[in-house]
Amino acid sequence: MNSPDDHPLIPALLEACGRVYDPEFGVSVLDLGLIYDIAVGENGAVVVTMTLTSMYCPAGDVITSGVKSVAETVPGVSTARVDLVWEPTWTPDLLSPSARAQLGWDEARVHE
Amino acid sequence: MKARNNPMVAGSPRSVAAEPKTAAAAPRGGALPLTGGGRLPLVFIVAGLVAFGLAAAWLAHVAGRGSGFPPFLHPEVVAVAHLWLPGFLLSICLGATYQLMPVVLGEAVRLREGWLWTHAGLHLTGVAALVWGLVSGRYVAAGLGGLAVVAGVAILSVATLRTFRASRRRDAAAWSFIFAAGWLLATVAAGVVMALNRRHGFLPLSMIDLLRAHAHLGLVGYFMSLLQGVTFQLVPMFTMSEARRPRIAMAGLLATQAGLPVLAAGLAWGARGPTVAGAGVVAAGLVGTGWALAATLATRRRRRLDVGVRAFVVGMSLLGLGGAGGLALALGAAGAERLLPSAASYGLVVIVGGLSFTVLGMLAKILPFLVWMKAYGPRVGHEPVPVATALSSRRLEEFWFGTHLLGLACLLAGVLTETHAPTMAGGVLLVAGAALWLGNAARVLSHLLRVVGPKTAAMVTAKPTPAS
Repeated sequence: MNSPDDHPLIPALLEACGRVYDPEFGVSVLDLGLIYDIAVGENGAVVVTMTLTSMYCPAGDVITSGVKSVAETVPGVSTARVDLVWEPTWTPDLLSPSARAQLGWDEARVHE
Repeated sequence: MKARNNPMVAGSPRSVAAEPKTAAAAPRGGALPLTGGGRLPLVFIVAGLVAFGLAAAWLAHVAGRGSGFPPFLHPEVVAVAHLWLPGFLLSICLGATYQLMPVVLGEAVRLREGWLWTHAGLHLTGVAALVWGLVSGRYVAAGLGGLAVVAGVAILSVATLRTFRASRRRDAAAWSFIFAAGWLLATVAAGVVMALNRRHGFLPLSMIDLLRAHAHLGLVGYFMSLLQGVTFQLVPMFTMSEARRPRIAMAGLLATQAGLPVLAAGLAWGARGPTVAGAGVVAAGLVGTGWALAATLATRRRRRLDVGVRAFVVGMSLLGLGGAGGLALALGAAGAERLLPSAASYGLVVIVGGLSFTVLGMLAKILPFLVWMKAYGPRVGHEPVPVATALSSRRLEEFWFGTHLLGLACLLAGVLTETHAPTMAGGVLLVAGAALWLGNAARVLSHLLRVVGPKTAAMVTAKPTPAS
């Protein structure tokens, strides 16, 4: 078993996920906080566990297919699978600081 | 920032060789196919945009001949009202419905695709015959066109009912499809009955009163009911907000359903009491919807509203204003001749203002998304693609919004003061606004024919749309 935090493929997989954008917000799925986990098997089999901003997201199929495709382009990855989960529920709290800045999130007003 | 069980955001990526976790739920939301492969909604929407262009051309023609705006029951105005409502606004809403219903209900449309395309064919030919028949005085053709529209709406109703029954969602957004489809069926059926009555005279009611009832069945029953539900799906989706006050939103929708039969009956029979009571309940429903919408918008993470959402919110506000105006008109129903300018301005606020802003505003969001899904969706993950919002021109959208709003204000000033110059200026501005909107739509649709290559797309995605 690999060490949980140091698999050499992880940085490249994260970078790859950062190239898939939500078509409406123009923010990557990584910055949106949609990627919950990436598991790499011994033969380079990758499973990306992710969610969507809404269970009713009309672009869900395109986004998950895109994540699978970019993961498979990473050298060393043999196959990639995307598991779509709804627990824990995505909330805007999961947005990265750059996504917040891009969306113009006014923290003070949201929590008023 | 709170990481909340999100290792990727917490900055501590994991790699494990053990069997991956099992998905907690089926990928229901992510696996829904686009209705008709995305082509069916686009056909309805493009047809609606053609009707929009033709209606705008009529406005330009009226402005050009310089004889003023015809009275609102003039046959030409009735024909253009049908070009604007079933032709433009309804066609677009039908396309949007076939796109949104599976998204909201979490189920693919439960009717064979052949039937849905039959609806498209019946609707397009029916509206064309209806408008042509009305404008040329060939009422048999108009009636046949109306029957085709009715048959199409019957198909939509069956599709809606079956999809709703398969779904477990039961909030205002879900119920609005059922109510809207029901009222739409009632509206188009009433239109055919009115056409038959004009020929055979079997209803002892005034034609003008029947027209008012027919118009309100469509405007309030179909368009308003749909907006009172899908607002709470679309606004959270486009502004990254949370739908708030769901019970009030539902109460607003139900108030419309309770008030409209009373209002329509009061209008058809020319009875003041039921008209006032029905209008009052509908207006109260609009207040509820407005309350829930304001609460929802207050939670948005995307602070600045882009043009599409801003137009939608302005449109909803104008519908609220129209509701209040309608109630005032009902209360002062005596002396109808004196109130004619007010009745015309009520129609302008509701149709040219409220409905046009809400529908065009949301379409400014939905059309790029649909085109993006068709043109770029299959390429995601394989090459850089532009984001959906980059397909539109923000400048054209802003100019359209300002021009349409100014045009509406001029038209209202002209109609209320019964002066020619502002009416004509308003007509010209609305035509200019329509040209701007259609120009932007053509730019978006052009991506279906000529997709942006990876190099250009990489530039677009490298500079994503700023917070808007």
